[in-house]
Amino acid sequence: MYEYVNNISYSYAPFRGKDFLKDYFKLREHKIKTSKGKNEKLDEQAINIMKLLFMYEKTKKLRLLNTALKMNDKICSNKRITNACADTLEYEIKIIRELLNREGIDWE
Amino acid sequence: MGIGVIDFPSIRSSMYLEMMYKENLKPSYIVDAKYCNSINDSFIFEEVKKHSQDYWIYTGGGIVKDRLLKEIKLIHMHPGFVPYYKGSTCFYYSLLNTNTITVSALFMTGKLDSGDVILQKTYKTIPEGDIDNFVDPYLRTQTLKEVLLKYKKEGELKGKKQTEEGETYFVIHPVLKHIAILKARQ
Repeated sequence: MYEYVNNISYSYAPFRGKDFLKDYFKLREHKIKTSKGKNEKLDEQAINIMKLLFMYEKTKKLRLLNTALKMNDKICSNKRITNACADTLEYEIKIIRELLNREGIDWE
Repeated sequence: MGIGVIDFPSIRSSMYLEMMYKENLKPSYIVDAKYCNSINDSFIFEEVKKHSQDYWIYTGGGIVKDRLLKEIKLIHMHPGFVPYYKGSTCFYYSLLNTNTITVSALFMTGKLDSGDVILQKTYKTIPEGDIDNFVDPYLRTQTLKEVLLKYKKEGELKGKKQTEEGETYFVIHPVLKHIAILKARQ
């Protein structure tokens, strides 16, 4: 997942079906588990992502969710993420699960 | 005079040209742009000036500079319902929002997907296949066919101004792209 951030353009992401979503959840959850402590710069970004996700929940504008996902990818490309970043990832996962449920997509 | 094609080799341009020859809607001139970096290349500028046409069909992507737009009327098949879906990978966003895909035929301007709209066609049934490499170019081709038939019948193409500002989208994240495709396949 994180290789899309630095090396491969998002538009070339090949379709891998449900496997891709499984990997997405796995990678995000792993990052959440290994998060630790604080970092002023990363925490500032986490606040911005939180705001975007909150605005998405309020307006349902996919443009906002799209930006938040990309920003979270960037955060995940750091070796160690902070507790605040883990919170944004948890929030994002919750939103994606809701979206999958809303669309009736069984991804497991 | 007639309609020319600025051909940047791709699946999309192949489909356009195949349809035009098959449906007897042949282009009156083709600019072979395979060695050009972008639509703003001076080779294209010289070619379209030399071979004047009523309209030109653009098969690539990106912003066109004013120098070229002053010389020609350029038609672009945009895969989104403008003004609400401008920018990139709009197919996926509209699949997620409305479960439909719309192609807008519009005249290009210096601003992204903001030109006058010739016609718009919404597809409720999405053909099976890879969206990027088949569905997208196929639906654009179907809409282009309607534009060409309109030109053949009426002898000109009129555009309608976009009155609202709408939304501009950026390249979709793979997670949302996967959700959109899974949704379309259900």
